[in-house]
Amino acid sequence: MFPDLPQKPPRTLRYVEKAFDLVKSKKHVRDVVILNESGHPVMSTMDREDAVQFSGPFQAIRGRLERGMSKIDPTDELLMLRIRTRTNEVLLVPDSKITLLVVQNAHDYFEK
Amino acid sequence: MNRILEKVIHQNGTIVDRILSEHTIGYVVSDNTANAVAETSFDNTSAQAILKHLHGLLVSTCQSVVRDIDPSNKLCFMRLGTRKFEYLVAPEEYFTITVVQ
Repeated sequence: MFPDLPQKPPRTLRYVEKAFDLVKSKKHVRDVVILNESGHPVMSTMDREDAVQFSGPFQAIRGRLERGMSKIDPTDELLMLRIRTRTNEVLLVPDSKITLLVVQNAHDYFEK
Repeated sequence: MNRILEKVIHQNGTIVDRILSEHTIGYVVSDNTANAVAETSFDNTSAQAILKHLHGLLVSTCQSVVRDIDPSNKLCFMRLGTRKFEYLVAPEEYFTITVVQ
């Protein structure tokens, strides 16, 4: 559907598709978006417009977070960010060439 | 403001003990209005770094992002997994709590 940029190994297109299908098949997962290193969504279960609108703010969060982590502990590295909101849960997983965004239903209930 | 914090700690003594006992490296509790450290087990440099970058920048950015995507939604909790530690950030009304484990 989208023109996929050439990716360097081991993050091949087959790897991305495999990761996408694997995450999508999990229980409670509502939406999955995979961004390339430029921040554009290359695979998504949302509409393209919704995916672009959804991925932009989280790309900003990733940049802000990595700069913050380099100040707190320069030798540390961000692996995963989990954001729990009132109704759902968003996981942000930065990888070497791709960024994975997963929206899933929350298991517990926050009384707020 | 610290009286509110002491009252909350007193009311949730068992939860506080459980949080502090297992695998916990430290914690930072910051006052939202004064933007200062209210309670911490780290030294001042580490607490100020966590206060500035996690409570200040990251929490506000995530809160605005959640509001942008869905105005009826609200940020409740954050878990930040890094290679060495895991930061659990809980933004509350008056305080923001970070536990490092």
